[in-house]
Formats: sequence, structure tokens, C-alpha cells
Amino acid sequence: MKRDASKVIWRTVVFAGAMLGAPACGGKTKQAATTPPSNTAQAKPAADPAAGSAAMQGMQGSAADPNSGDANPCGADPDPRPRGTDDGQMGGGMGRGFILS
Amino acid sequence: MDDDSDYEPTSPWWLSGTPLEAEHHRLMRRRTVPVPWADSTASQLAAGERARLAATWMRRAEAEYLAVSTFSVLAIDLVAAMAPADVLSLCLRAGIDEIRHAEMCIRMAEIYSGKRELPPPGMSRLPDEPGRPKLHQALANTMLVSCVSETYATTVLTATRDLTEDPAAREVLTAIYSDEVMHARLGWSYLRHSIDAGGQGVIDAAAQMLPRALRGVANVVERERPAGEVTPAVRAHGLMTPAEERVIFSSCVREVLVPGFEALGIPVGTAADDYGDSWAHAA
Repeated sequence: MKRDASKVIWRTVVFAGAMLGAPACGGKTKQAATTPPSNTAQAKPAADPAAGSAAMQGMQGSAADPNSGDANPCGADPDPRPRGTDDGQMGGGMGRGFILS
Repeated sequence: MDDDSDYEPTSPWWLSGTPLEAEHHRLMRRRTVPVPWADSTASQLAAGERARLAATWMRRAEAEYLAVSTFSVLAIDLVAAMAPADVLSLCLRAGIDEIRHAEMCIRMAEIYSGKRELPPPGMSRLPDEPGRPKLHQALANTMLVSCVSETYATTVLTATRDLTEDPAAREVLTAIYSDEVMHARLGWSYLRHSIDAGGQGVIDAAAQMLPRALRGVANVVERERPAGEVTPAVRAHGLMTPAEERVIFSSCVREVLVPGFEALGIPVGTAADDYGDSWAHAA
């Protein structure tokens, strides 16, 4: 690979993506600026179509509830995940990037 | 792209024949790149050269098709880890991009073979360790899929495009490259975000995943290739030798990936040596 190509990829992908020129991104300090709607008191969660059916909530699991302990992204997930396994291929299965030749 | 006149369905025979097609075209039209399909010089090639290119473009179609599920599975991990909304939307959009890539590769294969064929069905496999924290699970697969695989994809696409003279092949490679840049950047951004939010635990998890991520892509680079010589004419249609690919991956590791992970404070161990000159020239 040409050295110039490496520099371009470094600059456009890694440096830009990881914001290496910035001291820190907003992850730690940025707080969600939420304003409760004025009609919160009248809201009936069970009847809210946007909340989905009880069955759907069950399908989504309690992780959708931010007040649930399962919502902790740093917590382990005891449930099986709806997907296949790596089959011991060390992450080397197909579908990874572009096959050149 | 706003100009609808530039849009042409890429592989319309692959669509469902239902009203969904119109919505599919709307999605594809958003990032369409006009490919001069009619300018392909495939007819000037020998039969063996066309067969070699058809086989490669079909394998590319298979990889792109499976990458749809790759980003879908990654999205599951990201949702579980409560990734920010922009990370989720870009991940899901990447899956749509891969559908477009698969369409283009299928059409390229058709140009060389004269046959309308689809890649075999399948589903991408990603490492899954349910016992580890969700953030670490999401991060690990983001590193594999996006930081390493997609970043490497941008480097090989750059090199391949540079030697490609066929107008149709060159534009297809350019279109895929332009998407892969964002697919790769997605990973580096999420990695940075996760480190800022999670600190040393995230760095440790990333360091643990790095050898596995590099090996995963190296497995693809080392894989056996379709039979047939890579003649100068074949090269002009966007093909390199496996030996050249090894050199590109080695350069990518040493000049792009390792410096990137080091800049984020992630220990890289022996990665540069593992994929150094000895590995690059082992084939």
C-alpha cells in the first residue's frame, strides 16, 4: 500500500472518527436535556400506543426499562442472544469487509 | 443524491415484485452513484479472464450480502449496550449500504458471467460472550467489524481502485469505498466514546479483543481464492493477487490500526510484529 494511502485512511477514518485532535468527546459530561411534557400527569402508560402492547414489552425484555437493573450496559446479560455463534473461527467468518480477489 | 435522473435500479431482477420495490428504490436513491455499466470492457477479455472476475465478484457479493447481517447483529449488541442514537442509526444505515453493495457486486458478476446468480444464503457470525458486560460485548464486535475490518476494507479498496481501468468496475469500487469510510469511522468514534465513558475497563476490554479482531480479518485475507490467473487485463478490472493483499493488510495494521489504537491508549501487544514483513511475505 502506498504510504500516501495510509495517511489518507489514517486522517479520514481513524483520526477523524476517534477525534484524536480533541481532548475528550461528550460521553462523560453531556447530559440528556429532557423537558417533561406538560400533560405527564394525565398520561396512561398502559394505554399509550407508543408504548406498545404488554406482549411486545415482554418480547423486548426488562432491559428497555431504564429503572431496571438489567439496563446497566456494564452488567452481564444472562439471556441467550438471538443469533449464531462464532464457531471457533476467531471472528473470521464471511461477511467481514470487502473480499478483494 | 437529489437528482433522480441519475438513479438506475442496479439488480432489479433481485427485487420482490411487490410495492416494496418503490420504497427500496427510495432508500437506494439516497446515496446512488451513477455507474457506467454500459461502458464495461468485459467483452474484450478472454473467457478465462471473465470467469476469474465473475467468481471474484460473486464472492464479493457474498461478503457484502453477509455484511448486512453483520451490521444487524452488531446493532443488537449496540442496543443492548445503550449506544448513543447516532451510533445506532449509522450502524443500521451501514446494513442498508451493504445491500446496495451486494446489488452492485451481483451486477458485476453478471457482466462477466452472463448469468443472473445470487450469493448463497447465510448469516454472518460474530463472537458472542453473554457473560461479559454488554458495553464490552458491543465494543468488542465494533472493533472487529468496524475498526479493523472496515478500516482494512478502505485500504484495499483504495489500492484496488488505483489499478482499476475498467470504467464500471472503477465506479463500483469508488461507491463502495465511499461508504466503507463511514462504516469504519463509526467504529473509531464509538471506541472513543466508550473509552471516555467507561475508562480503564473499556481499554482493558479493547486490548483483550484486539488480537482476535486482527486474526479475524487475517483469516479472510489468507483464505483460498478462486482459480484462474490474475493477468494484467484482470488487474485492470479490479483484482490483485493474494500476495499483494497480505502486504496491504500488513501495512494497514502497522501504519493505520496500531497507531490508532495506541493513540487511544489501548495496548497493542505484538500486533505489529504478528503482521509484519514475515507474515506479509509468507504466501
